[in-house]
Amino acid sequence: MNIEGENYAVKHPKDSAIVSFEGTIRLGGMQEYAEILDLMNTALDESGNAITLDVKGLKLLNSSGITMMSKFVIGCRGKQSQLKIVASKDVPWQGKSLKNLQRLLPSIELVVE
Amino acid sequence: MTVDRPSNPEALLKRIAELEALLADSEIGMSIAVEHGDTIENELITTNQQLEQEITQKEVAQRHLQELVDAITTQNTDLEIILDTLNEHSDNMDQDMWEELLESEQRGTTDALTGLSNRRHFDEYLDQHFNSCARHKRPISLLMGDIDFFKIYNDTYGHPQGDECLKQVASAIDKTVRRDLDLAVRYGGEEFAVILPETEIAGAKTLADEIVANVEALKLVHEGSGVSDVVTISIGVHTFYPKRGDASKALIIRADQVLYQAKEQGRNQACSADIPNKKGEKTLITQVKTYGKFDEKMSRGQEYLELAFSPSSRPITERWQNNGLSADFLADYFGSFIPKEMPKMHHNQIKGAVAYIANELLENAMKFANPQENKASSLSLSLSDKNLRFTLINQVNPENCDKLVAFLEEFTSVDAGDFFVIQMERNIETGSESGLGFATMVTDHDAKVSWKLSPTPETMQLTTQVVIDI
Repeated sequence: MNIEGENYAVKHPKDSAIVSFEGTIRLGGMQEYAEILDLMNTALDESGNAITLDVKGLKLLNSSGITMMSKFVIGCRGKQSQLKIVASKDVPWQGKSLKNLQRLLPSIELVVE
Repeated sequence: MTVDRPSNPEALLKRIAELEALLADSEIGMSIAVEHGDTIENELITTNQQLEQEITQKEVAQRHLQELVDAITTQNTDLEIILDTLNEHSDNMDQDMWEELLESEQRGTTDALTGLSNRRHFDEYLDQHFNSCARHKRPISLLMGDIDFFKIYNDTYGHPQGDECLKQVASAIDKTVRRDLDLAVRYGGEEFAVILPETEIAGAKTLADEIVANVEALKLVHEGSGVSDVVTISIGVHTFYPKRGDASKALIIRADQVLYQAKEQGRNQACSADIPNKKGEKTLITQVKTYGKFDEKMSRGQEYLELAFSPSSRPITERWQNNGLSADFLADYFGSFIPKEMPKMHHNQIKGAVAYIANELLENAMKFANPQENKASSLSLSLSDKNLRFTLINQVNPENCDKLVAFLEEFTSVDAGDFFVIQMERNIETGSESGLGFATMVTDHDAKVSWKLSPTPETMQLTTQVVIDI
């Protein structure tokens, strides 16, 4: 399943355990992020409680977006899921903000390429 | 204790009866005590059971409470982490977006007010197409436009209205420029430019005329304009067939110079160097050449720079006299091509020499000019590592030929110092200042002057060359 907006795309290929994010996501509030959160939770369920979030192509994520990510991580902690996040060193915010998610779930594997 | 023992049967019977009564009482008392003890015991058991139950309930409640506290603590920690994450993320995003904004501003190609391309894009685009046209031996044209009396417009109607005027003029220019290859630019302030790659002078002039007409058709009231009651624009047009190594700056300077001519000739018009304007006049400077890189050329003693006033319908001397073209302008114009690292002689010295010598040459030429001449005249200036060379070709009035030849022969027959003295003495005698400037030019700048007077079918043509070492 894919979600495509004006400047962004969230892709979860069938039978894949990877959800990839591209572009600039600036949705307004948690309600507008619900669809993306659903996609991530569905992907987590379908992939046997282990998932990779590839955010290398995500140039910008607004505050509501990072809150949605935080909630997803807290959900993963409750389900004792395996979570891997692949980030890019070329996108400055990723190296900084995503480390905080490890505080919510220390078992997150954060890979900065 | 001593017990009285009865001594007779009656007393004994009485004592027995008393003892039996006492026993019965004791049994009753015992029974009461036992029953009471049972009651108390039952009550204690019940109370104990209640207490145990309460303790268990309290323990359960406490456990639930602890779980609740734990859950709230976890949630609180989560929220603190999310808050930290949010704050840091917002800061990071701010920083990223700020850097992106700065970068995009630098990278940006659009002028915020008018929506036309900005100066930065202009520089890149002109260089790119100038070089491309040089490679493919194709022409490139440039229009340089300036809104007439815009400062007065701003002063009269205020800056917000001034901005609106700029927007509308920009829009009129943009609508007139139709080819994808052409680029309309806000060059700065009230100046606009249009780059027309692969465009001959005729096409460029036509477009410039359309822009002039379309700006006037906006009918933006401009009471302070000296040429119209509405906002108008003047445009200078120039076309190059660039060669490899030519500087695109030359095209800008020349288009700008032609714009200056358009202003001088009455504004609200487009002028080009090679096509007559509304009044049939042609503009002046038509050729600037730079040859390769300054350092390389100069180190080999090769000519680097040449500025020429090419032939046109009117002689150079007349234009010098009537067009308000000053020696200072010529010096600045020529000077703008001289690299700052120019060795041996300071920039300003060269400009000073250009201003002085060009003026003297032209003034002198005018004295002997043929008033009927309709043939070409030209002035060219060239710069090499060794010298600055002026070449003036002009037509001489045949009636003045004898006087001119005498002047020139005298000039060459004596050294410069003596020539100056001779001219001085003669001038004191006649009351004129003739020849003094020319003599000063030679002495002050150590100029070497040569000439050639050659007859043509209609007139006499004088070629004068002045060389000064640098």
